[in-house]
Amino acid sequence: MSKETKAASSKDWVHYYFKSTSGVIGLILVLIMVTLSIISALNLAPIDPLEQNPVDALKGPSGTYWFGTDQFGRDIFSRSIDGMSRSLSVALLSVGIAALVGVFLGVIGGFFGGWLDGLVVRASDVIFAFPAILLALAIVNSLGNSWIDTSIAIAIVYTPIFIRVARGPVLTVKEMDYVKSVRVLGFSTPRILIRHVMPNVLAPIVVQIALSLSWAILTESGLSFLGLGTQPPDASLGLMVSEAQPLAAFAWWSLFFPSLFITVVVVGLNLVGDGLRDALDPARRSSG
Amino acid sequence: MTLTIRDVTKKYSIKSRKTVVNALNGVSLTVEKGKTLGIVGESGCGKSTLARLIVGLEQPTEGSLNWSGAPLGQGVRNGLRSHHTKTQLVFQDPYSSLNPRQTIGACIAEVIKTHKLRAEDQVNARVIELLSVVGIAEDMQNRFPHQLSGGQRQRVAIARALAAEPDLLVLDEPVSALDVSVRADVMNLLVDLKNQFNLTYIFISHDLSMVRHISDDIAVMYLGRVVEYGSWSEVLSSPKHPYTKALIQSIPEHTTVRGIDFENVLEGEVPDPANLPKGCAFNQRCPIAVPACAEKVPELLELTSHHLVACPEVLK
Repeated sequence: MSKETKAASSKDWVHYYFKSTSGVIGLILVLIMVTLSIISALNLAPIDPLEQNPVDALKGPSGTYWFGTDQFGRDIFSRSIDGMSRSLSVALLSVGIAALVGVFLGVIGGFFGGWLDGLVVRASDVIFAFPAILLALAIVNSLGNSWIDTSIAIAIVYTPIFIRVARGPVLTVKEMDYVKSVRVLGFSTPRILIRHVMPNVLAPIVVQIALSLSWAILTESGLSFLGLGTQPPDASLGLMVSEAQPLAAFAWWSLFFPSLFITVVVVGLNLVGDGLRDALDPARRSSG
Repeated sequence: MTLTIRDVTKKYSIKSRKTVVNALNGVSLTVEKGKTLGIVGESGCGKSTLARLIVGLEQPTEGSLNWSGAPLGQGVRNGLRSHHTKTQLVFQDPYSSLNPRQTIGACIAEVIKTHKLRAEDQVNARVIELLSVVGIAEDMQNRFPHQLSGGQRQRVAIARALAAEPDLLVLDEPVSALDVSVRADVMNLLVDLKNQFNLTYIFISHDLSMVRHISDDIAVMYLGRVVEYGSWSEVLSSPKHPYTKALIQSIPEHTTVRGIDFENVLEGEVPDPANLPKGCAFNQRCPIAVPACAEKVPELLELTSHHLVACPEVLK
């Protein structure tokens, strides 16, 4: 690299991220959904999502009811953003727990090896052996139906993914000369892990967080659809889709808008994940 | 102060093959403070293992390593900071020896801060001083390793090692990965630094022509043993061990060394270190081997007071 190049900042990847059209689109989609969730969480929804207006039941989209109403005359727009806020809360909490626990176990197991590593790997293999939605169903069934219970169930299902994503790169990085050289320099193990191993395994973890958020939203919707997540009368995107099933033939809006929200946020998070993967990987960067 | 390596053995057990690889088989060497010991040999002869033992990345299976009486390398295991800074290692590949997510200034500053070698407000001045010592401009301290050339990176790696204020620097093929055009610069830098800071060097290489530029003494290793040891002038001008002769003959400008009356001396492959031949490890490739060579492992014996050879045939 030429000497004229200005000193690079660690924010280089931000620049590369915004060069990608799909990444920017994904970010816009996610930001729209996050904004709507915040509006709902602050009780700023146009109509109370729980308010029933039997007179207006099953009305199509209009100036008053942007997304129409359901069979109880509840506003589908308000319920959709309420459901989005609940889905995002569950996704953030579950992926937050899974990432913290999984990355911790994966880094410790990969770096130190031995019986601890064996235990971590075997335990995650056991969890991997079950289909995700089935395991989440079983856990929710035994925990309860609150959004925190749902989050814990999803967190347990996704923890092994983070263990794997963190452990693999740690196995490579710990053999690199730069880790050996800081050992020779007498740095403490926590310092080596935090300052020299973690920064070099972070990229795949960040990408995994974005992708897992979208899966967690799908899983939460799936659980609610099956009646094991959010309970009526609270709104949840999955539950709304489930309730709208028998109505879809004559009230398309009751099924369409909650499904659209799920699709938009999942597609958005996936595009963000792909964008981050490209931006954080120096090898992909140089080619593009 | 002296580095004393006594009867050091290092075995690695390979579980999948149920065998034991003998990386080092009883190596004894001494290096006086301020001297440079060059260690040469083919890949797999144990020279890098020896480097890792000296800096404490690994522990010997048997034997001991001492620096002026105190055991070396224990610090890494016991967390004794004071021992650390005494021996430092410069790796062969400067592309993998620097943390890609850390600026070169931060990388050197971290060493000084971790060991509290300077007051907080003098750390930056020390970083600039160390960079200038190795010939890196001050304004480059905010660069990341990928913005530097191989030669610049190796200079940074050397500066980082110097930041720990070592007595002994182990240089594990420090110029082999560099472009030929910058090798001489880095070699000259190493010679300057040694005089400036009164350092002791262990210079490891597979290339005799690099070793002779910098070494006071040379140890020639073959399959985990020292086969010849002495001052560089003596070893290079009158090599005794057939393996040393072969190595010297492989340097282009040394194609005709007096006393070598055979050509293409090195035939065959280096034996598997997990399955060493009986007797002298070199006997299967040696042009002057006699049946006795396959019986007994030859000891390193004095030819003169400062020239040792592990070959009974040439001592006769």
